[in-house]
Order: sequence, then structure tokens, then C-alpha cells
Amino acid sequence: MKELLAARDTVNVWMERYGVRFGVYKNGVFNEQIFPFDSIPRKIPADEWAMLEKGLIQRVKALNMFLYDIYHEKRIVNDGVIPKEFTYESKGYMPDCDGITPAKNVYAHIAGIDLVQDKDGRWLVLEDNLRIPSGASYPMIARKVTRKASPQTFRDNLVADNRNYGDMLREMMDYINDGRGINVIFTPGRYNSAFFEHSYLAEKTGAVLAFPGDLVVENSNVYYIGINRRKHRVGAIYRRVSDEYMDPLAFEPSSLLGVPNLMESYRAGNVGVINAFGNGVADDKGIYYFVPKMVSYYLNEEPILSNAPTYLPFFKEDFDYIIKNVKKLVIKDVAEAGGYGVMFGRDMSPERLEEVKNLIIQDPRRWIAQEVVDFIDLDIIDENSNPSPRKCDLRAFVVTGRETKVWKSGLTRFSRDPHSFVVNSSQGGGFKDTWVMEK
Amino acid sequence: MKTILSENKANCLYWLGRYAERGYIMLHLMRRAYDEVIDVPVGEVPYSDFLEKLDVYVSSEFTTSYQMMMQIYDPNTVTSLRSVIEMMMNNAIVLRSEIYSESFSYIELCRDLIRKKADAKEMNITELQPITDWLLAFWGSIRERVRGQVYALLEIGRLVEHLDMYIRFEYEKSRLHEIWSMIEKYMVTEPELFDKGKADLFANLLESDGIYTSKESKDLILEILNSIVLV
Repeated sequence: MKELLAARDTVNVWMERYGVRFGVYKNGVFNEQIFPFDSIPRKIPADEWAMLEKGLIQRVKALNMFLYDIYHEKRIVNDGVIPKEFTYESKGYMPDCDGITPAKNVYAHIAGIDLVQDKDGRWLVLEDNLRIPSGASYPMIARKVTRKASPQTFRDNLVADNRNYGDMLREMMDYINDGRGINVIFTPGRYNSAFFEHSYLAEKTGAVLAFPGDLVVENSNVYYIGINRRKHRVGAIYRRVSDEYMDPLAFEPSSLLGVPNLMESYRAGNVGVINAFGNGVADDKGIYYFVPKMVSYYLNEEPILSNAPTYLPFFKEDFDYIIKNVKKLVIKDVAEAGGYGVMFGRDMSPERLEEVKNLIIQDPRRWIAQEVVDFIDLDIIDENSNPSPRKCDLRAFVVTGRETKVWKSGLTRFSRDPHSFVVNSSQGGGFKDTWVMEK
Repeated sequence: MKTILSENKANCLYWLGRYAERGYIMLHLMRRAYDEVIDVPVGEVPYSDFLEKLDVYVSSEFTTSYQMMMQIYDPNTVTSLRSVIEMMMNNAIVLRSEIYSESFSYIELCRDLIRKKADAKEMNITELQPITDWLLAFWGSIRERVRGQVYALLEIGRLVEHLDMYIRFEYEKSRLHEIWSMIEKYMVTEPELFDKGKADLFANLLESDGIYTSKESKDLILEILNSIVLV
């Protein structure tokens, strides 16, 4: 490990030369930044991983079943397990998807499950990201670079190889594609914050990186337009564009990114869309509360992974608790993502606390409240080259094709501010490699 | 598997090939110009011949040494080395999956260095030698990893730019013929990428004796060269 830490500068030089960046818009200006990488990895022992793996597979299976159910029979609502206010009124629920079964009945092909580990070593789920979770490319390329910079470290530590993520994605895409045509990764373009990832995953999966304007729909089939307007049938689209911008004729009419009539092709079962349309209903922060109940309902199993203690002001008992204890809770706006809309009661002035209470009273469905989980710190090497503890989470990637598999790694994000719990890259956070130990 | 390219990507590949070659040859010619200036007699304007051949207006408002620095680092001068490298990157950035991260990394290195040297107002041209080295490594990586039409488009771009710069700097015709014969091979394997009529016209002009006799004749052959490839 000492060798790896000594190679820190070498690692950063290599990351820079591979263009490992993410884009940020500030005051309307696009800037590319290096995603700060810390060489000290998060290590997960094999037995701990085995439990996590089981729990993640269980959770994603239940979420996939929920998505099928909510766009078909709606049993879980009819049986009173989830109130209808949390499904049909969710921003992520798409009535256009009602009755559509995506290719191979998979909805959440790539799930990014955010977890933290509390001081007792318990893993708690913070969020399920089932639309377009990003971040896998960073630990992938970090591993490639760190192995190069410090081979001895990897001789001395039995770490599961994580450079197979491209193969996992390709296998899943081929399964969903089912021989209909080529696989494409559809990017909104080079000025998207995650463009590095889009292009790197295209390289690693062998899929064609498609840009807005490259895809057309004819006779309910999707085609990629090649040189001399030659058309190549597309069998699977791993889209990195939000639902609402994917088809201007079905969703947001002002979208210039989308593929007109894509929804028609999808509905006809002529193209696989990864992840499926309408998944937003399952990664709504309000629905998160119900995921352990989904596990019991669909799988008839005890949930292996727990949520962070969460309250829904929608329920009277929870509402009263939140209003009374708002100062010690973290309040989250269900419509926000990327670390936005997260408010810590302890950091708010009395006036702001009153404002937040009023917001909750006015629209209880819009908010959730969670106990502040005192999750463990991991050391990073700070700007003065000293080890310094920071809050870290873990985004685990679960890929579902023929089977549901967990990638033996993950994106460990850390807060750069020693006093902050917010780890998102869009909020200035950095990342670490995640080592899943073989022994 | 055959790589499938959109027209935009084909265009980016062609222009990546062109800019990478322009950067390489420009640096080579800059080094030569710096060397020649050592012997320029008092009273003559240094670098003016170099700048004019690149169609840079030589202004009497500034010294040509200053204009030469602008020709290296100014991001707003479209013919500057820095602009050429920025354009290399603009094309390469959408092509990672076609050229692979290893090839891409050499472009990234060139871009980082030119920016750093520009910030430092570095005037010693030997400090830019790594750009030449990385561009050679870039082409080595391309030859090692890339095949088919992706390779053809990059190489056609490289050869067209090579010819363009050789014509601008009035290289011997035998050198031009040598490169043109390499382009002709691609006209056989990738005919849909070329305008046959323009290519024939160019070949005829190349045979004539007057290509360097006037600015007009040079501009004409350059104009035809730049319309041969259809991407």
C-alpha cells in the first residue's frame, strides 16, 4: 500500500492523460474538471461483500418486479402496500409506459445503489438510482492506472479484478438486443457532465457511441445513420439521456436531443432501451421508503439490506415526528438529485427551520426526512499530503440481463470538505477505488 | 467487426488526421524558421516568409517575433499551433471509442502542454519537442490499434494535410508525387470518400510546371486539393 501512496502523483498524471474528467456548468459556462482521485482504496472484505452482493441482488430483483407490476397489474397498490400517491403522482411515473413490457422484461438493467456503512459496520441503502446511474468508469480506469503505477500493491493484495465492467455491460446489451441489430450508447453530447464515461464505456463495450441526430425511426425500427446515409438497424440503446428528452413526439416536444418516434419502436418491442422508460417511479426518494416492503411482497423474503431510518411526512405519525424533530433530521426534496435539495436541520437557522416546516406542511408528498446516519469515515490524503478522515458513500452497480449480477467494485465518493456529508461529484466530491477482497 | 461510422464521425476522423499532421509539420517548419532566422541579414524581416506561407497577414504594427509567438500560442489565431492542437482535441474527443484511450491520451498530452507553455509564455521552441514526440506516438498507436475505414479516414486526412503543407512551403514535386500516390491507393479501396473529378483535376495540375509560379496558381491547386475528400 505504501508503494501505491507513493505513486500518487504518477496516478494523477495518468488520469489526466486519459482525460478522466467531468463537466460542470457554472453561471452558464461549461468547464471540464479533473474528478479528484484519492489513492487510498475502500477495502471490502470477502465475507462482507458476499452479504452485500446477496442484498443488492435481492433489492434490484424486487425493484424490477415492482416496475413490471406498476405498469401492468398494479397489485402492490391495489393490495395497499404502497399508497397510490407515491406511484401515479410520482414525477417519474410515465403513463405512456402502461402495459408495455420491455425486452426480456428487464427494467433496471443498470442499477446504481448508494450505500453507507454506519459505525457498527452495518450497510444502509441511501438511494436507488434506476434511471441513468453514472460513475462506474472512474474506478474502472483508476484500477487500470493504479495497477500500472504500483504493480506490487496488487501482487500483495488479492483484489477482485474490476476491469470486466465493459464485458458485463456488453453481455447484458447483447441479451437485450437479441440479435436485432447493433448496440449503441446514446449520449447527449460532449458537453454533458458525464461525457468521459459515455465515450469510455463505448470503447470498453464495443458499442457505437451515438449522438443526437444519429438515430432515426422508420417503420417502427431504429436505425443508426452511417456514411452516405446508410442505415444500420439498432437492437439496443444504452441511453444516457433522461426519459423526457428521448422522444420529442412522445415526451418533451422541445427536445432537440431525442429520437422522434422512438417510443413507438420501443412499444412495438423492436428495440431494447437501457434503462427502461418510466424507471423514475422506482427511484423516487418517496418510493425508496417502500423498497424493503417490496422485497417482502414480491419475493416473500426478509430484506437483507436496510434503508437509512426514513420518515414520510405523508403519514400522520411520521409527520408529527418530523415537525417535532426537524432540527436533528436531514430533509430531502424527492424531486431533486445529485446532492441538491438536501438540507441538514442542524445547519439551519431558526427562521429557515420554520420555512422548511411550512414547506413540509404545504406539500408533505414532496419531502422525506432521515435520521443523520453517522457513517464511517475513510482516510484520504489531503492537500497537505496527510491522511485525513472524510465521509464516504459507495455506489454499487448491479447489472441485470440474463441474470442479476453485482460488479465487484463500485464508486466510493468522498466529501472534500471535512465537515460535510455531501459526497456528490457535482458538489465538489472526489472518488476512491473500491477493492472487493478475494479473501 | 466492421466499425460503423456516422458522417459526423467520419468528418472528425478526417480532420483529426489533418490537424495532427498540421501540428507535426508546423512544428518542424517552425524549428526550421527559428534556425534560419539566426542567419537573416540585418534589415530583413524575420519569419515573414514562414508566416505568409501559412496565409498569416504580416502586420507592420507588431514585430514578426511577436507575431511568431502569436502563431504558436494565440488561441484566437485560427492558424496558430495552439488552435491546431485545440482542434485536434475537439475532433478526438468524440472518437475515443474509435481510436481508443491510448491514442487519445497523446492528443490530451499535446493539449495540456501547449496550454501550460502558453500560460508560461515559453519562447524556447525546444520546450515543445514533446508535442512532436507525442504526435509520432499518436500515429504509432493508430497504426497499432486501428483498422478499416477508421484508419483510412485518419490516414487520408494525414496525407492530404501533408500535401497541403508541402505545397504551401513549395516542396519539390517529386515529394508531392510520392504523397499523392499514397492517396491514390485509398481512391481504389475507399472510392466513396473521394470526388473523382476533382482528384483527376488535381492530378493534372500536379503534372503541370506552373504550380509555384504565382500565388493564384498555388491557391488554385490548394483549393482543389481541399475539395477532393467527400466528408
